[in-house]
Amino acid sequence: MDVDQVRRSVVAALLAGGLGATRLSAVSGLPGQFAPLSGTAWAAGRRSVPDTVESPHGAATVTYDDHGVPLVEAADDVALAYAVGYVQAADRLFQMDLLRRLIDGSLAAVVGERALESDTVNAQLDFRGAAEAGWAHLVDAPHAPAVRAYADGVNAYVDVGPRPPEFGLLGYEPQRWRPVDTLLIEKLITWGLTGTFDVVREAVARRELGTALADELYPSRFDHDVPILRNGSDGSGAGAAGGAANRSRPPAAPPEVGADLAGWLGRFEWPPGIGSNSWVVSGDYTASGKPLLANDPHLQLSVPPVWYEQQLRTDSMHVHGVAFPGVPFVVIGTNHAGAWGFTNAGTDTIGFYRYDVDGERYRYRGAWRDFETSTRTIAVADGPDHEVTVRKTVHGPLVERQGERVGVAWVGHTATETSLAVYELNHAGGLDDAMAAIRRWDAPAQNFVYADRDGRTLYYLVGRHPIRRVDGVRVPGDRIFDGSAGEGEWKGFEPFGVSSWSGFVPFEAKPHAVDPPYVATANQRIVDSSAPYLRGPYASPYRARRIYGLLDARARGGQPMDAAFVRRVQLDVRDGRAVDLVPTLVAAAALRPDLADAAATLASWDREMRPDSRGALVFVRWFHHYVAATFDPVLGPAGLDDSFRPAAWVTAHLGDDSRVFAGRDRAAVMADALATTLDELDAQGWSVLGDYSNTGAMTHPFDLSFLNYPAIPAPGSGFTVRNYDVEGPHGSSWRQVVDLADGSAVGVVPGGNSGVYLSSHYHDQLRDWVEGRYSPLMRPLEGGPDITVREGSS
Amino acid sequence: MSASSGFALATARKRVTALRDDHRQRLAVAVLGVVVGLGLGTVSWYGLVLGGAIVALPARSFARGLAAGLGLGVLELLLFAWLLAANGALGPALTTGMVGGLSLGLGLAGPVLGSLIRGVV
Repeated sequence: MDVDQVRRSVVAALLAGGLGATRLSAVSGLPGQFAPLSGTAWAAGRRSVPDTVESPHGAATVTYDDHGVPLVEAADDVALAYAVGYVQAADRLFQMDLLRRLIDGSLAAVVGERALESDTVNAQLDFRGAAEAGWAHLVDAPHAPAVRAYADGVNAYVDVGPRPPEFGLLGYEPQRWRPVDTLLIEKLITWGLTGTFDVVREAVARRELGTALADELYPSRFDHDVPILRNGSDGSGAGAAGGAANRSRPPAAPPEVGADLAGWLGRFEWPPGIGSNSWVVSGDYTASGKPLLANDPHLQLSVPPVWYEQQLRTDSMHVHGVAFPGVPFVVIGTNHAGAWGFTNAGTDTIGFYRYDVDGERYRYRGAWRDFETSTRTIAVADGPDHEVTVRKTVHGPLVERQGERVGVAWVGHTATETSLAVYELNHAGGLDDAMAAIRRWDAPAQNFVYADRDGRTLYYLVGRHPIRRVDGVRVPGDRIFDGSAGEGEWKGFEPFGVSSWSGFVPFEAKPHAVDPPYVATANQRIVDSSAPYLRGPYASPYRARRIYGLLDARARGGQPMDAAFVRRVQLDVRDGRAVDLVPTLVAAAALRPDLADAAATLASWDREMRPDSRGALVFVRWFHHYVAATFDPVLGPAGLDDSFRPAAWVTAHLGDDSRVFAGRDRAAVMADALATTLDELDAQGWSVLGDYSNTGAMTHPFDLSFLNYPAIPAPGSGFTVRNYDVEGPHGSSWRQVVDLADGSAVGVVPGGNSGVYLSSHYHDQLRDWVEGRYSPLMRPLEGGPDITVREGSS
Repeated sequence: MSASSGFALATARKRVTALRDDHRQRLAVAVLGVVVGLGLGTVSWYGLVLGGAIVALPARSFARGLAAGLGLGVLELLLFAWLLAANGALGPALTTGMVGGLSLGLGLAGPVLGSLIRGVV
């Protein structure tokens, strides 16, 4: 063989080897995903969104503003919804698909085994079944044609539009959108806001810690004077509906519900701290004589944002606000006649049951019944399929793990009409229409605030609330009921069917206030009534105390309120924990010479959570360490994990004589936590709050740094009105202020309206959000449309 | 190697050699390679490999063939950058780190891999 032949052979081998390597499983997908001109990861960068599309539902236009917020215009709702589906898919298709998969329990099929536990729980809870029951109920409802057209619009984009990069990175194609998927998104949000296992945890804690200590850690009421409706104002309906609550202490958890199950379930809840602010001020207190309305829901701060901002206009409606991706209608916003907002109510809308079980049977009211059983197959990317047995009782699904189980009855597990209520709110011509719309609202239970241009204002607790009885006596849902004995059942509730709601609190009886002077909601207690369904303290009342404090001071001062004042309140960063705790902490630190500098810093600090503040950093990290030092020695030996830690308000109000500090000195615990804090700050190199609390915590579900938001020092904490908790992260997921005098409104989302990384609107509102700026809503846009939807056969 | 395949290879080499001696034909094949590479490259990465092979074949030496493949890769990346820029996506794309580097590598590796054929034929 000559040299030339050898060379040729070597090169041929290289060529064959190179081509062969692309077939190896480890790299075989790479060219298809990442090749510059054909890789699926770059599809959205190489090709723009098709600017012309045909619709069988009628013509529409889409014009984007300079933040990538679409103004969608059409003659009617159905033509409009198709275009909304198209633009939401263009901007958020991956997020929509991911959220749908998450709540459906089919996420592992694309991300692998790490989602298997979440899929298992969500399959057991059968949210898919609940959404299907809902769509079957609504299939002929007034908004159903729009929901169908929306799905068609999403699918039109799936057919012709470039995929966002995530599909290429994960290497899968989105399934087609179905109307029931919109209701699945509704279930996701509803479960996130009301699907809490607090009752289970508290029952377990009662067993493991004893009743006296559990009562101290998990009080049924926080001692404060800022309920939503103060001075008994119009909250009488609650009492009328409820009667006297059974004040006896709830029993401990039964043996089949253990600490492991309770702690494990906590992993599938939305993180603690989810809450919101809203307030409405009547014209009596405003400069214009017309109402002002503010709302900022505090949800998970994800990438992309949990909300999609959109402006919609038809011949009979003009609305601007935010929707959840996958939902065609504006959930929070302002329209041609009024404005509205929501905060989480934290009321009783979920129940838990234990059963006598014998194999595949459970005892119910003296007779044995078979569980209603089905098998769900969960596909797992790069792994074997996993089978889940879904068991249900007359009350709803069972959640099971390693021999422990608890039955769940949840308002969202039946057909709900919330989507119709939202649709009607978009069209509401004033307060009467809004009242008619929220009457339909089933779940999640929310504090609803509304104001219209005629000067009317409203607060209403919306959502279905069960009336429970044990031995004929009304009881709160603060315990795990004996399902086998039929305790605490909900009359008229049909899980995975259509409920009559006959055994639920009537709409008129729920706390409300029509034309109140001003009302502020921040997830605090709603009224001072003892109605059982209003049980539970829900959130620490720091934000409520601050908002009412600012509103009261302004009202007392006689200076009328205006939109600028309302925005200042929304951006307030005074931390109520610090107001309550810093004097005690400074006194405790004074006992230790090594803490003198820190004590001086805290003493001179104005309690405001500003990024350049050293005091704010020391306090927020001290509180973290103080919580751990206070509760872990108590919870840990009982086998209770972090999810059993009590609320911040409880932490701040534990006295020296608390059982929690038995055998310990509270001041010493405080001082030790401060010393730990200073060591941590040195180790981390943090000197001011912004070093620790910044937007770099807002991350994309993928573990790819370029997809995360840039780190900008951010004001606020989880307990300030201007809400940002970097540990979630969660906080103000949408800020909205509306002046009903002229309908002028402003808003901002934490990030950007596009979820496509390659878009210039991926995080173009982030700095505005951090720095407290807003953009105008409801404004006309100049120039021709960016997308034209033509009437056709597509 | 059988006698018939050896004959076919010899014939192919003869034709390719004739092609390499004709400047106009060489240019035409190179242009064809660019068109094929960029055209099929929008469908599959293997289109770039094929394009690299075609642009390399008429080169007068193995080294020049590799250079032609590399040139096609650079051209393809310029086209890619232009497409990204036209859609406002070039800035974000430049910050993608490993993902961007992987694409850069694949964009150059495909045509260069194809151009190795010049060392065989």
